[in-house]
Amino acid sequence: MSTMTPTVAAPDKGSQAVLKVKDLRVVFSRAGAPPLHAVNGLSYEVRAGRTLAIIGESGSGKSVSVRALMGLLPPSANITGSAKLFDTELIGMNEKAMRRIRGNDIAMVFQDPARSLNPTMSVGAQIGEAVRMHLRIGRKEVADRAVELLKLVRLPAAERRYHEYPHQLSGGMRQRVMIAIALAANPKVLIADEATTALDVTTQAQIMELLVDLQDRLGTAVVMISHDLALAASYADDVMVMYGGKVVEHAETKALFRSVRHPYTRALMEAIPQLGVPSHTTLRTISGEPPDLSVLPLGCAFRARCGNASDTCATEAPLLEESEPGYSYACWHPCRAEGDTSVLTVGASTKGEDIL
Amino acid sequence: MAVTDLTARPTSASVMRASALRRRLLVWVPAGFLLLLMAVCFLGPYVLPLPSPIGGSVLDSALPPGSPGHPLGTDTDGNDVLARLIHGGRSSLFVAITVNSIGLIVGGLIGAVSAYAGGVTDAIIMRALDILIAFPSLVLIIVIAQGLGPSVPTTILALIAFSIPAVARLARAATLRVTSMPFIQAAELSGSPAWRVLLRHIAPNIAPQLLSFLMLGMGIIIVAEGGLSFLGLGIPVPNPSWGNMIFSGQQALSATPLQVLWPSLALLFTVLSFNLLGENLRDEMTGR
Amino acid sequence: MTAPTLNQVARTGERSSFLGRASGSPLMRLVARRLFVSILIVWAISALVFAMLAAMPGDVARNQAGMGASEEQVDDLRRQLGLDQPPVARYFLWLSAVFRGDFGSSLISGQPISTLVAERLPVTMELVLLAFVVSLAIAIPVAVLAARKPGGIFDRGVMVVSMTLLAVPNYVLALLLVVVFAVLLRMLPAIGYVPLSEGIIPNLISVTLPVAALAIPLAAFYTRFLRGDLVEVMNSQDYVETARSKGAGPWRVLWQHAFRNSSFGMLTIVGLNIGGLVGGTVIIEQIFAMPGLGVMLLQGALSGDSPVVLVCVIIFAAVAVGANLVVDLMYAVLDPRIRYGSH
Repeated sequence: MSTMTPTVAAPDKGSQAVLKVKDLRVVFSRAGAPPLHAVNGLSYEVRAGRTLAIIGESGSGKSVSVRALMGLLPPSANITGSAKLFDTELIGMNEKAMRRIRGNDIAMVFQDPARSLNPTMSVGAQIGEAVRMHLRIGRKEVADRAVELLKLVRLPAAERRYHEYPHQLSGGMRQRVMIAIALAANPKVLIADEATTALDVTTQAQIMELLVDLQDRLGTAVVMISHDLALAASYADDVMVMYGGKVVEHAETKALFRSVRHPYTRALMEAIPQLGVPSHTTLRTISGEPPDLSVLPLGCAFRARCGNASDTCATEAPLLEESEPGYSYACWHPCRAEGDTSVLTVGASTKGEDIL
Repeated sequence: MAVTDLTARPTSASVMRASALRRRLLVWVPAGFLLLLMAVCFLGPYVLPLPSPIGGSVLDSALPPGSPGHPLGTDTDGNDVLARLIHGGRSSLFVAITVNSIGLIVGGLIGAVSAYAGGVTDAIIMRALDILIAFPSLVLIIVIAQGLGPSVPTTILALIAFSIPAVARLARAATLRVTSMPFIQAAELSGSPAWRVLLRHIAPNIAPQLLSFLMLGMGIIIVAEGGLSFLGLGIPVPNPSWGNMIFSGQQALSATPLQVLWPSLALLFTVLSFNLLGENLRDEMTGR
Repeated sequence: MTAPTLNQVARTGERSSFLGRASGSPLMRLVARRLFVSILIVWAISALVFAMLAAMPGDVARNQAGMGASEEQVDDLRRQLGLDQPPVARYFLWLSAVFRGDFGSSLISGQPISTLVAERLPVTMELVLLAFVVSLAIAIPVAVLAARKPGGIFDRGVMVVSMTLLAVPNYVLALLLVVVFAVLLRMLPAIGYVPLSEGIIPNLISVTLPVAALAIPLAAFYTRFLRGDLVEVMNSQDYVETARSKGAGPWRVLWQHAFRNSSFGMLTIVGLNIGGLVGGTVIIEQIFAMPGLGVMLLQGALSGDSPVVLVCVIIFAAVAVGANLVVDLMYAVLDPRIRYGSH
């Protein structure tokens, strides 16, 4: 721990990374079962005003990795590695110091706004709580700030909504409230953990537009966690794909969609329905199951579901290496940039029933 | 800097193994105690060289524990305390087992049928149960027990009236949860008759919950029977029950202070064992 | 179930269908409906108990008249007591008398039952209310402290102690308290009740042991329930994580978020408990010689004084039903999901 100051001073904006994660590992010890290796060496950086999307299926370690940064994991989690907010090391920070970071420098928006808001507290009280945790201001100012935040997230009739309870709001409105809570103390990093998954498509787009707009205005660094590669394509600057607790591909969004290299990312892309494709074409799916995280795989975790797999994949894990500046992937047999369809020959579903 | 302070908390693998072991002990120790208790109470009177629990001689009254032939001494009426304890346990357990078995079957059936049938049937049954539940249970039992005169069958009857509504309510709630699940609809759609759905699909699914309640119910009924006997409305004297032994022990507190201790301890450990079993069963099922 | 209880309504969201045609405030209509159902239940209980008492063997008139009474004397008495009428007629006679405020007289003492009830009900109510206050005053802080670190030393200690206390029947606990505090330490009186009119301190001293005997098992029960609920809320509810992600400390999360929500479940349990607690006073009043309603019921039952038994049972039932009603209404006032209609 280098500093205990409540607010980490932000040096010159833009060029420097706000959040720098290096070789983050999370292992859960479990009663009567082998330990679970949820995150196995994760490294990334996020700059101010930029959005990083962490993509992966459930169990890929994406949610665990961000909760580890915020100290929100249960005591059974053993966290190693480093995560720096500017120059402040977050991993290993004591709970009391971490409380001053949470909601203040790093804030989080969760998946299900219906469950993430306390049903017994008014909207205003819940935003006010977030404000009061970090700003030493009077009752009146807290209330003003809460209304101001409700206006910031463009909730209509903010003054009235202030007094209402979560069950009186729609799903999209609740998520706006969640965002208002997250922005209460002007955080440097905003983590959106599947923030739009529980919403319908129209609302999803509205919430994403709101996040992007607020990010532009406030210069927040956003880490967006999703299973939806299409969503990342529209809103993220960088995309990092995780599989079995590891990064398999990490690149700028445009570059990634131009020349995807990892068979898993490619399979994810092909699972996205496309407008240009004739109707009734069987959608590509990825058969097989996610890896068992209780055993650290000897080789590549994806090999059992991969069409490109060879003997090497079973014995040696591919390292995440930069193929060109800003583009890295971990694969022995990457897809060719133009579109190698051999990926799914072995593992591909012919029935079209397996859905990712 | 490597390990957070979270992991410093005592949740290492060894501690977790220890807690798993402790959990298993919390099941096996009470289960073992109860099996032993049942063996002693139901077989003891035939196998052990016990004196008669009633009709003792005044000449032998109030003997201290450890007296020859009376390991726990005698009470103020000259009866052997150990023999009374074992016979008393037999009546307590007999009453509790009978009441809970009947309560479980009848109450479970009422609750399951009520929830499964729904509509008017459900409304009528639940209204009737509401009335029974609104009765302060002990008050109801006192009225029944007094009206019919204290005896073992009366005690059982009175306690059943208290057990059935409680089980029925629980069974109804459990059934409602199960019936909303897709496999019940699937069974219905595939043309299974109602009785078959109830027996093959609903019963096995609500059984675990009812079973854990049964364990807690054993404790509740043993305490209630003790209370009735304590008030003189349960097992009629001079026949022993833990409840009336506690009452007579209280009367003789100055002469033989230990006399109240034995039935109280027996009651405590028996109820504790049933409660522990019930709670652990429930925790196992909910995966807590 | 009769009219769904408010918490069920809150959870299933069937509020609209059930209050949809409400005229005026939905809350007031709900109150009216619940009140009506409660009165109906108490009435049904009165009929049920009357029938039970009528069906019980034994000839009250003959017992009353005494051993040496002639047949005519017994018949006279029977007519005088109205026992020559068929039970249904007797029930309606009784009911109409009740509506005039006449609860009848004790067959044994001849005193009006309303006088007896007026003397004894306050004693029982005092015991019950104090037992509730004391048990909640113990259970809430203990449960919150235990839930702060589940599996910690304090939590484990609380679980063991409460488990043990739950297994102690209140009549055994009462005897234990008498032996320790009255016989051995001579700190408190073993039996007897000092009315409030003779001073609040002597009154409180006289009820300390009976209240303790009622409150301790109850406190153990509430502690276990609340602690379990708090731990579950802390572990499973997303809004707890939201609160933590705001930077809220563990105590704030426990009180402001977890306890606030657990208190609703707690309220339900308390409501359901009242019937049992009221019944439990019968034994406790008997042991501590408290001149309450429980003893009145017990003596009435033992001596075949059926008018007294009938009124006592109805009062006990009314208290239980009324308590449930109050709890449900408290829900409506406290839980915003009910206080305000849904979207």
